[in-house]
Amino acid sequence: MKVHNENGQALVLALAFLMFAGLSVGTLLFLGGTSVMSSSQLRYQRSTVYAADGATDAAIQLALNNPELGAYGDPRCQASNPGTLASPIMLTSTATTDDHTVANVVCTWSPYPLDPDRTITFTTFSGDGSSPVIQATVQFHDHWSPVTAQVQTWEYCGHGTSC
Amino acid sequence: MTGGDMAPIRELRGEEGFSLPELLVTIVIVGITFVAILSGLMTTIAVSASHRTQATTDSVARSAAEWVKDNTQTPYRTTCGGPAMYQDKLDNMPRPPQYTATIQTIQYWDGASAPATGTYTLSPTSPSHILQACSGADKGLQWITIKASSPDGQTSETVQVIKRQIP
Repeated sequence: MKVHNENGQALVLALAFLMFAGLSVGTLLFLGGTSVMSSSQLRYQRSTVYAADGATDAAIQLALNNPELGAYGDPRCQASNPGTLASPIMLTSTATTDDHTVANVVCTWSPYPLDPDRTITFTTFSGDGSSPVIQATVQFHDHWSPVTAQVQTWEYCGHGTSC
Repeated sequence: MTGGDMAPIRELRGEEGFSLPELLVTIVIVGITFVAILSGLMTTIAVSASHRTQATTDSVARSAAEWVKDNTQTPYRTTCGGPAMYQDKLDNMPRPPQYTATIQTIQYWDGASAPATGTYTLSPTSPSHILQACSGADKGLQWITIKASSPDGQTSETVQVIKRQIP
Protein backbone atom coordinates (compact mmCIF):
# COMPACT_ATOMS: atom_id res chain seq x y z
CA MET A 1 0.00 0.00 0.00
CA LYS A 2 2.73 2.47 0.98
CA VAL A 3 4.85 1.63 -2.06
CA HIS A 4 2.05 2.33 -4.49
CA ASN A 5 0.66 5.56 -2.99
CA GLU A 6 1.49 9.05 -4.36
CA ASN A 7 3.82 10.20 -1.58
CA GLY A 8 6.96 11.92 -2.93
CA GLN A 9 5.70 12.48 -6.46
CA ALA A 10 6.41 16.20 -6.29
CA LEU A 11 10.03 15.51 -5.39
CA VAL A 12 10.41 13.11 -8.28
CA LEU A 13 8.95 15.72 -10.64
CA ALA A 14 11.28 18.39 -9.25
CA LEU A 15 14.30 16.15 -9.69
CA ALA A 16 13.26 15.39 -13.26
CA PHE A 17 12.87 19.12 -13.91
CA LEU A 18 16.25 19.76 -12.31
CA MET A 19 17.86 17.22 -14.62
CA PHE A 20 16.19 18.73 -17.68
CA ALA A 21 17.26 22.23 -16.67
CA GLY A 22 20.80 21.10 -16.01
CA LEU A 23 21.02 19.56 -19.46
CA SER A 24 19.57 22.72 -21.04
CA VAL A 25 22.02 25.04 -19.28
CA GLY A 26 24.88 22.69 -20.06
CA THR A 27 23.97 22.69 -23.74
CA LEU A 28 23.73 26.49 -23.84
CA LEU A 29 27.11 26.94 -22.19
CA PHE A 30 28.65 24.34 -24.52
CA LEU A 31 27.32 26.25 -27.54
CA GLY A 32 28.75 29.50 -26.17
CA GLY A 33 32.10 27.81 -25.59
CA THR A 34 32.13 26.36 -29.10
CA SER A 35 31.46 29.79 -30.55
CA VAL A 36 34.39 31.30 -28.65
CA MET A 37 36.65 28.44 -29.73
CA SER A 38 35.70 28.85 -33.38
CA SER A 39 36.47 32.56 -33.14
CA SER A 40 39.88 31.81 -31.68
CA GLN A 41 40.56 29.23 -34.39
CA LEU A 42 39.58 31.76 -37.06
CA ARG A 43 42.04 34.27 -35.64
CA TYR A 44 44.81 31.66 -35.68
CA GLN A 45 44.00 30.77 -39.27
CA ARG A 46 44.06 34.45 -40.28
CA SER A 47 47.47 34.99 -38.67
CA THR A 48 48.83 31.87 -40.32
CA VAL A 49 47.65 32.77 -43.80
CA TYR A 50 48.82 36.40 -43.66
CA ALA A 51 52.20 35.38 -42.24
CA ALA A 52 52.63 32.79 -45.01
CA ASP A 53 51.42 35.26 -47.65
CA GLY A 54 53.89 37.90 -46.52
CA ALA A 55 56.81 35.50 -46.23
CA THR A 56 56.20 34.21 -49.76
CA ASP A 57 56.10 37.76 -51.13
CA ALA A 58 59.31 38.55 -49.26
CA ALA A 59 60.98 35.44 -50.68
CA ILE A 60 60.00 36.50 -54.21
CA GLN A 61 61.43 39.97 -53.66
CA LEU A 62 64.61 38.50 -52.19
CA ALA A 63 65.05 36.18 -55.19
CA LEU A 64 64.39 39.12 -57.50
CA ASN A 65 67.30 41.03 -55.97
CA ASN A 66 69.62 37.97 -55.81
CA PRO A 67 69.95 36.34 -59.27
CA GLU A 68 71.88 33.33 -57.87
CA LEU A 69 69.17 32.47 -55.39
CA GLY A 70 67.22 29.42 -56.54
CA ALA A 71 69.45 28.77 -59.54
CA TYR A 72 70.07 25.13 -60.42
CA GLY A 73 71.90 23.40 -57.52
CA ASP A 74 71.70 26.38 -55.12
CA PRO A 75 72.41 24.99 -51.61
CA ARG A 76 69.84 27.37 -50.09
CA CYS A 77 67.08 25.54 -51.96
CA GLN A 78 66.00 21.92 -52.32
CA ALA A 79 65.78 19.57 -55.30
CA SER A 80 62.07 18.81 -54.91
CA ASN A 81 59.03 20.18 -53.09
CA PRO A 82 59.01 19.07 -49.45
CA GLY A 83 55.83 17.70 -47.86
CA THR A 84 56.89 18.88 -44.41
CA LEU A 85 59.24 21.59 -43.25
CA ALA A 86 62.87 20.51 -43.79
CA SER A 87 66.26 22.20 -44.07
CA PRO A 88 67.56 24.18 -45.82
CA ILE A 89 65.07 26.94 -45.04
CA MET A 90 65.45 29.92 -47.33
CA LEU A 91 63.61 32.56 -45.31
CA THR A 92 61.97 32.91 -41.90
CA SER A 93 59.67 35.73 -40.88
CA THR A 94 58.32 36.41 -37.40
CA ALA A 95 55.33 38.67 -36.81
CA THR A 96 55.30 41.08 -33.88
CA THR A 97 51.60 40.64 -33.16
CA ASP A 98 50.57 38.91 -29.92
CA ASP A 99 50.78 35.44 -31.44
CA HIS A 100 54.28 35.96 -32.97
CA THR A 101 53.38 33.80 -35.94
CA VAL A 102 56.42 32.33 -37.67
CA ALA A 103 56.45 31.49 -41.38
CA ASN A 104 59.20 29.49 -43.06
CA VAL A 105 59.81 29.47 -46.79
CA VAL A 106 61.52 26.58 -48.53
CA CYS A 107 62.54 27.01 -52.15
CA THR A 108 62.96 24.42 -54.86
CA TRP A 109 65.75 25.28 -57.25
CA SER A 110 65.19 25.87 -60.91
CA PRO A 111 64.95 22.50 -62.69
CA TYR A 112 66.48 23.66 -65.98
CA PRO A 113 70.26 24.30 -65.71
CA LEU A 114 70.59 25.77 -69.20
CA ASP A 115 67.54 28.02 -69.02
CA PRO A 116 68.51 31.71 -68.70
CA ASP A 117 65.40 32.21 -66.54
CA ARG A 118 64.87 30.74 -63.08
CA THR A 119 61.66 28.90 -62.26
CA ILE A 120 61.48 28.57 -58.48
CA THR A 121 58.77 26.97 -56.37
CA PHE A 122 58.32 28.53 -52.95
CA THR A 123 56.63 26.36 -50.31
CA THR A 124 55.67 28.21 -47.15
CA PHE A 125 54.99 26.56 -43.79
CA SER A 126 53.54 28.09 -40.68
CA GLY A 127 52.85 26.86 -37.17
CA ASP A 128 54.33 23.42 -36.49
CA GLY A 129 55.43 23.01 -40.12
CA SER A 130 53.63 19.72 -40.54
CA SER A 131 51.88 20.85 -43.71
CA PRO A 132 52.42 23.66 -46.23
CA VAL A 133 50.18 26.73 -46.29
CA ILE A 134 51.10 28.23 -49.66
CA GLN A 135 52.91 26.98 -52.72
CA ALA A 136 53.87 29.46 -55.43
CA THR A 137 55.78 28.92 -58.64
CA VAL A 138 57.51 32.02 -59.96
CA GLN A 139 59.48 32.58 -63.12
CA PHE A 140 62.28 35.12 -62.91
CA HIS A 141 63.27 36.62 -66.26
CA ASP A 142 66.96 37.05 -65.56
CA HIS A 143 67.85 37.96 -69.14
CA TRP A 144 65.55 40.96 -69.01
CA SER A 145 66.65 44.31 -67.71
CA PRO A 146 65.50 44.95 -65.08
CA VAL A 147 64.89 41.38 -63.90
CA THR A 148 61.18 40.72 -63.44
CA ALA A 149 59.19 38.11 -61.54
CA GLN A 150 56.12 36.47 -63.02
CA VAL A 151 53.95 34.50 -60.63
CA GLN A 152 52.75 31.41 -62.51
CA THR A 153 50.80 29.68 -59.75
CA TRP A 154 49.81 30.66 -56.21
CA GLU A 155 47.96 27.94 -54.33
CA TYR A 156 46.60 27.85 -50.83
CA CYS A 157 47.09 24.30 -49.60
CA GLY A 158 44.47 22.33 -47.75
CA HIS A 159 41.39 23.72 -49.51
CA GLY A 160 40.93 20.81 -51.83
CA THR A 161 44.47 21.38 -53.06
CA SER A 162 47.28 19.00 -52.24
CA CYS A 163 50.55 20.92 -52.42
CA MET B 1 -17.34 8.59 15.14
CA THR B 2 -16.78 4.88 15.01
CA GLY B 3 -13.50 3.05 14.97
CA GLY B 4 -14.08 2.08 11.35
CA ASP B 5 -14.22 5.77 10.28
CA MET B 6 -10.99 6.80 12.06
CA ALA B 7 -8.53 4.96 9.82
CA PRO B 8 -9.19 6.93 6.56
CA ILE B 9 -9.02 10.26 8.44
CA ARG B 10 -5.63 9.37 9.96
CA GLU B 11 -4.33 8.30 6.60
CA LEU B 12 -5.50 11.57 4.98
CA ARG B 13 -3.86 13.64 7.71
CA GLY B 14 -0.68 11.64 7.30
CA GLU B 15 -0.55 12.42 3.56
CA GLU B 16 -1.12 16.13 4.20
CA GLY B 17 1.70 16.19 6.76
CA PHE B 18 4.23 14.60 4.38
CA SER B 19 3.36 16.85 1.40
CA LEU B 20 4.49 20.05 3.16
CA PRO B 21 8.23 19.25 3.35
CA GLU B 22 7.98 17.79 -0.13
CA LEU B 23 6.55 21.01 -1.46
CA LEU B 24 9.15 23.09 0.36
CA VAL B 25 11.99 21.00 -1.06
CA THR B 26 10.37 21.19 -4.49
CA ILE B 27 10.04 24.98 -4.34
CA VAL B 28 13.67 25.34 -3.32
CA ILE B 29 14.85 23.02 -6.10
CA VAL B 30 12.72 24.70 -8.74
CA GLY B 31 13.89 28.12 -7.54
CA ILE B 32 17.54 27.13 -7.78
CA THR B 33 16.90 25.64 -11.20
CA PHE B 34 15.27 28.81 -12.49
CA VAL B 35 18.17 30.91 -11.25
CA ALA B 36 20.59 28.52 -12.98
CA ILE B 37 18.62 28.67 -16.24
CA LEU B 38 18.41 32.46 -16.16
CA SER B 39 22.09 32.92 -15.44
CA GLY B 40 22.93 30.39 -18.15
CA LEU B 41 20.81 32.30 -20.64
CA MET B 42 22.32 35.62 -19.62
CA THR B 43 25.84 34.21 -20.01
CA THR B 44 24.99 32.81 -23.42
CA ILE B 45 23.53 36.13 -24.58
CA ALA B 46 26.58 38.03 -23.32
CA VAL B 47 29.00 35.58 -24.96
CA SER B 48 27.03 35.71 -28.20
CA ALA B 49 27.08 39.52 -28.30
CA SER B 50 30.78 39.61 -27.54
CA HIS B 51 31.47 36.98 -30.17
CA ARG B 52 29.48 38.89 -32.79
CA THR B 53 31.53 42.04 -32.13
CA GLN B 54 34.75 40.03 -32.24
CA ALA B 55 33.80 38.33 -35.50
CA THR B 56 32.87 41.66 -37.12
CA THR B 57 36.14 43.25 -35.96
CA ASP B 58 38.04 40.26 -37.33
CA SER B 59 36.22 40.64 -40.63
CA VAL B 60 37.12 44.36 -40.79
CA ALA B 61 40.77 43.49 -40.06
CA ARG B 62 40.83 40.93 -42.87
CA SER B 63 39.16 43.30 -45.30
CA ALA B 64 41.63 46.04 -44.39
CA ALA B 65 44.57 43.68 -44.91
CA GLU B 66 43.26 42.66 -48.33
CA TRP B 67 42.55 46.29 -49.23
CA VAL B 68 46.07 47.40 -48.35
CA LYS B 69 47.75 44.46 -50.11
CA ASP B 70 45.70 44.92 -53.27
CA ASN B 71 47.74 46.98 -55.71
CA THR B 72 44.62 48.11 -57.53
CA GLN B 73 42.91 49.61 -54.48
CA THR B 74 46.14 50.67 -52.84
CA PRO B 75 48.99 51.21 -55.32
CA TYR B 76 52.48 50.71 -53.89
CA ARG B 77 54.04 53.98 -52.83
CA THR B 78 57.77 54.49 -52.52
CA THR B 79 57.64 57.87 -50.79
CA CYS B 80 58.53 56.47 -47.33
CA GLY B 81 55.71 58.53 -45.90
CA GLY B 82 54.77 56.40 -42.91
CA PRO B 83 51.22 55.26 -41.98
CA ALA B 84 49.60 58.29 -43.63
CA MET B 85 50.89 56.98 -46.96
CA TYR B 86 48.04 54.43 -47.27
CA GLN B 87 45.52 55.62 -44.67
CA ASP B 88 43.67 57.76 -47.21
CA LYS B 89 43.17 54.67 -49.39
CA LEU B 90 42.10 52.55 -46.43
CA ASP B 91 39.52 55.17 -45.44
CA ASN B 92 37.72 54.41 -48.72
CA MET B 93 37.17 50.78 -47.70
CA PRO B 94 33.51 49.90 -47.03
CA ARG B 95 33.00 48.71 -43.45
CA PRO B 96 30.24 48.42 -40.83
CA PRO B 97 29.27 51.78 -39.28
CA GLN B 98 31.62 53.10 -36.60
CA TYR B 99 34.15 50.28 -36.97
CA THR B 100 37.62 51.68 -37.60
CA ALA B 101 40.66 50.39 -39.46
CA THR B 102 43.91 52.28 -39.05
CA ILE B 103 47.45 51.71 -40.21
CA GLN B 104 49.59 51.73 -37.11
CA THR B 105 53.07 51.34 -38.55
CA ILE B 106 54.85 50.87 -41.84
CA GLN B 107 58.32 49.39 -41.64
CA TYR B 108 60.72 48.96 -44.51
CA TRP B 109 62.99 46.25 -45.84
CA ASP B 110 66.67 47.18 -45.82
CA GLY B 111 67.30 45.40 -49.14
CA ALA B 112 70.18 43.29 -47.79
CA SER B 113 71.25 40.36 -49.98
CA ALA B 114 70.68 36.74 -49.01
CA PRO B 115 73.69 35.03 -47.38
CA ALA B 116 75.48 32.32 -49.39
CA THR B 117 74.24 29.72 -46.93
CA GLY B 118 71.79 29.74 -44.04
CA THR B 119 68.37 31.22 -43.47
CA TYR B 120 67.42 34.82 -44.20
CA THR B 121 65.59 36.20 -41.17
CA LEU B 122 62.92 38.81 -41.58
CA SER B 123 61.26 40.49 -38.59
CA PRO B 124 60.98 43.94 -37.03
CA THR B 125 62.98 42.62 -34.07
CA SER B 126 66.74 43.04 -34.40
CA PRO B 127 68.70 41.96 -36.43
CA SER B 128 66.16 41.23 -39.06
CA HIS B 129 66.33 43.45 -42.15
CA ILE B 130 63.14 45.35 -41.29
CA LEU B 131 63.69 49.01 -40.42
CA GLN B 132 61.54 51.67 -38.79
CA ALA B 133 62.36 54.13 -41.56
CA CYS B 134 63.53 53.93 -45.14
CA SER B 135 67.24 53.35 -45.61
CA GLY B 136 67.72 55.57 -48.64
CA ALA B 137 65.10 54.61 -51.22
CA ASP B 138 62.29 52.12 -50.70
CA LYS B 139 63.52 48.57 -51.47
CA GLY B 140 60.21 47.11 -52.59
CA LEU B 141 58.91 45.48 -49.39
CA GLN B 142 56.87 47.09 -46.64
CA TRP B 143 55.83 45.50 -43.34
CA ILE B 144 52.45 47.03 -42.48
CA THR B 145 50.58 46.73 -39.17
CA ILE B 146 46.83 47.37 -39.31
CA LYS B 147 44.47 47.63 -36.34
CA ALA B 148 40.69 47.23 -36.54
CA SER B 149 38.51 48.32 -33.61
CA SER B 150 34.86 47.94 -32.62
CA PRO B 151 32.70 51.05 -32.05
CA ASP B 152 33.01 50.82 -28.25
CA GLY B 153 36.76 50.24 -28.48
CA GLN B 154 36.48 47.11 -26.34
CA THR B 155 37.47 44.73 -29.11
CA SER B 156 40.40 45.16 -31.46
CA GLU B 157 42.29 42.95 -33.87
CA THR B 158 45.79 43.54 -35.21
CA VAL B 159 47.01 42.07 -38.45
CA GLN B 160 50.40 42.37 -40.15
CA VAL B 161 50.88 42.12 -43.89
CA ILE B 162 53.87 42.41 -46.17
CA LYS B 163 53.28 44.51 -49.28
CA ARG B 164 55.49 43.86 -52.28
CA GLN B 165 56.13 46.29 -55.07
CA ILE B 166 54.82 44.84 -58.31
CA PRO B 167 56.06 46.76 -61.34
